[in-house]
Amino acid sequence: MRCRTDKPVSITLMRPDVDVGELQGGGLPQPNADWTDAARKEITAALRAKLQARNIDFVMMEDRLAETEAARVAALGKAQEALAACRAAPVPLPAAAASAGVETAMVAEAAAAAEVPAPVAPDCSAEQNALATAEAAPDGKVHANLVADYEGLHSAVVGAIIAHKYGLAGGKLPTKKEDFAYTLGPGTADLGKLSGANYGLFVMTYDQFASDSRKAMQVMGALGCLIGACIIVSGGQHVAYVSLVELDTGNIVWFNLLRGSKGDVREAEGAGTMIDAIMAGMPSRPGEKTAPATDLAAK
Amino acid sequence: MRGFRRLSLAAALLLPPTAAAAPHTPQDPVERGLWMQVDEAERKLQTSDFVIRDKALNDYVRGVLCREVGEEQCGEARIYIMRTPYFNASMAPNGMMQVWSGLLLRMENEAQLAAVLGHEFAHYREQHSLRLFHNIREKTNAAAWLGFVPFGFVAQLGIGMSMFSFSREMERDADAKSIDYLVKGGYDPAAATRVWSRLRDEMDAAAIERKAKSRKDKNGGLLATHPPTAERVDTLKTLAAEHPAAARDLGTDRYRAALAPFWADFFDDQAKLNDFGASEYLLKQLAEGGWTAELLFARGELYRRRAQAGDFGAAAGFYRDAVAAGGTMPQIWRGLGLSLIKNGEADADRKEIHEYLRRAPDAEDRGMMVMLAGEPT
Amino acid sequence: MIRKRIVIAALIAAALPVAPALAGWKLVPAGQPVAVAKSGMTVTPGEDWNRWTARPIKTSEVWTLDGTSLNELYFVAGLAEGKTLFRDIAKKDRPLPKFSKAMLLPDVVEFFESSTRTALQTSLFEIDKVEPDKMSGHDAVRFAFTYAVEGDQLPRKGIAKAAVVNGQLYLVSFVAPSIHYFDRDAAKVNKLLDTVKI
Repeated sequence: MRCRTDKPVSITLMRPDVDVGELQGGGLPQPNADWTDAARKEITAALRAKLQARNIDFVMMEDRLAETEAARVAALGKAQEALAACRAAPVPLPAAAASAGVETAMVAEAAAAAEVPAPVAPDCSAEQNALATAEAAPDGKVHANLVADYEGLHSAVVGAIIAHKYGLAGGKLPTKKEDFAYTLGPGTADLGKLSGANYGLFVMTYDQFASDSRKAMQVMGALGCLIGACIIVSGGQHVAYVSLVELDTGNIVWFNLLRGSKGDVREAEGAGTMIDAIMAGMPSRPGEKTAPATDLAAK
Repeated sequence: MRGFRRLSLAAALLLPPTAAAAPHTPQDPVERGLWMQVDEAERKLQTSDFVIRDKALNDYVRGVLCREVGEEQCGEARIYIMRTPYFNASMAPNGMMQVWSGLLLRMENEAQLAAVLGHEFAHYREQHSLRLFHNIREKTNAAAWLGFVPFGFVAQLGIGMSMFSFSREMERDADAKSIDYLVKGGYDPAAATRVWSRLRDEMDAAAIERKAKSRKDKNGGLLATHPPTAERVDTLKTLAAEHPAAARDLGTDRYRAALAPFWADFFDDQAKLNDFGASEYLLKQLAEGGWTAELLFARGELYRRRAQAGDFGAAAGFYRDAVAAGGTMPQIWRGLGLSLIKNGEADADRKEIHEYLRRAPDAEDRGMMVMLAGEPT
Repeated sequence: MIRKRIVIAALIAAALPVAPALAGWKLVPAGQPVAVAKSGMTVTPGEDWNRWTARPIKTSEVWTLDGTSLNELYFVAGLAEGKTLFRDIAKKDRPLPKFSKAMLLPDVVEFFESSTRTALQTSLFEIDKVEPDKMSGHDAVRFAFTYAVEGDQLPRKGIAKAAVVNGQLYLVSFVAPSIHYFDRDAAKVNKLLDTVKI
């Protein structure tokens, strides 16, 4: 996938899917809200810093959803006020309405809609149309559904990438051996419209730190090897992926997967190291003259 | 994109998980972690196609809960009615309550619904899921340690059983509290025992049809923590008997009215799960007030789909009864026509299928039916 | 939620030394008739597909283009009386319906619906268009459907074609997410369905 050079790059970050907890001795992961909140904050901050350092505009989808909904509600309120103000205004002279042939019909229509006799109704058709437009604007629920739909599709695509491209569950597909061609389809343009960005970034991190009892078990398991009953107990579990989607086409132009810990995501420094590691190799800013015109293929 | 005909048009406004100020806030790290996970699950429900958002039905179910636990406490519950065809309800520590459509299909009256809602609310008030998690954590740690010891497997099994008995204790506790809630709400406290004894009967009916042993005393599956054991039924009966002066409101008519727009869909979901015994049991319960055309049609479909010896004749009879009872749904004639063909007694001109196509000219399966019966004349 | 757990489990498991997976994927090249599920049923795909070497039930086979979560063709070639459409993995609690050779084509559609609802434990499943068709000269049915699975957040669409020949069921079904993937591949699959020979 060749990048377009005519547009500045802007990225919208979808709500990062972050899960941090502690792996108990028995293998039961125990979720930790404080760690998860801290990690989400640090990961987002690290991403923001990293992308802004590359002069890439960065907007969080969650913020944009909230702003869009607030703007819709405000516009609706304004349109309602304008209509009320118009209706309360003095009745215009009938002659004025009659002089504009086209508008007469609209006045009659608007009057009929308002079920008020035509002669006494002020001409509020413009306000009424404005209100109808404001009312027809998709609300927060519609946008939330759109985002949820694409989060669902994205996780299905990532499932296919991990299972069949990395071959971690189910094995590699012969037809997909050569290139990395995965897409969410051009419907993602709606996400572009909503966010004002031309790329979408999806981030998932899953970190389970080993508790003391788990660590003790690792030692026990290793000791067991000496006496011929070797049980390997995994320590902590750390997995993360990021994928960059070109919103015009829906194509995943870059994907990276990390397994194993690259830093403690609960802290600024560790999250920074992790983000540096996972974002390494993300294509350079396409518009930059210095950047080679690379194919944005997955590793 | 979201192409389902949703059950509701009126989307009830759902509060975000953090909006309702529940009096209990999570304290220790374990509890906060659990809350985070259920908050995340609840976030997903906001855009789920499985949530039934019909305002009247949601108001009704909430009203039942509020009547028994009080206006103040019921505000802590955020109720989600789920289009899921099995018997279940749950309440998470953050106040997210789920009521499955399969549960609503199985309740006979408002008092039985109140018994289940009260039971789940008691789990929530007593923070049972948190205690269960602590308990499992302690015991799985111990179980993993035992894994290093020879014959540890047997010991691990023992710990598994003790986790069950721990949750059974909480079940008994929630059962007892649900009786108190029923009494407080003016409902018949005997409704609780009836919920579970009927579930036992339904499981028996399913087992007889499958020529299998009844699962009613089994642990596992959906009822892992709620086995409807005979002991449980007896305990609930005894508890109810301790309130001889309690009101005896069942709310049968109110319940039927609230569920009237939904039962045909909910029953259809059940009937398509290859569980003839349970479906027939539930259908007979729905018909206690008399066999309506809709119920007779549903029964015809059930027998026709089972397709055992004699079923097509029986199905044809039910479809004809449905017509006699004033039924006008086109699918009655579709079912009748197919049953007669399968039974080898269809007219050469297959007039029932033609009647179906006359009544439903835009049917999705028109092409298929024309192939089977020719163009209607 | 469900899929995320599976993906994470796969990632974690792969970090540990485990036995290599027994099943894998083999190329199905475009333009040549190929027998499916070691049966007498053949299809001629118009593009390259991937065939899973594991078979969910004895008379079945699974193909995909990009991965089974994005597009999945399921072939059932010669299902006999009394057999289930999918593996009956929860037969004690939720047994799947069994095929009967007496089924008419509309019954086959109902059999498919009931099998899928029971296997996926879902109520959001709708049969859309049901039309007559031919499979190798035999009367057949072609139908479309829509469904969702709880916790998955991704509605899916599907098409299928089926015939009962010599008392055995021959069925090919295709499912894909309703966003983008179904529409992208439906024409290819419709062509492929026309090439089925028994």
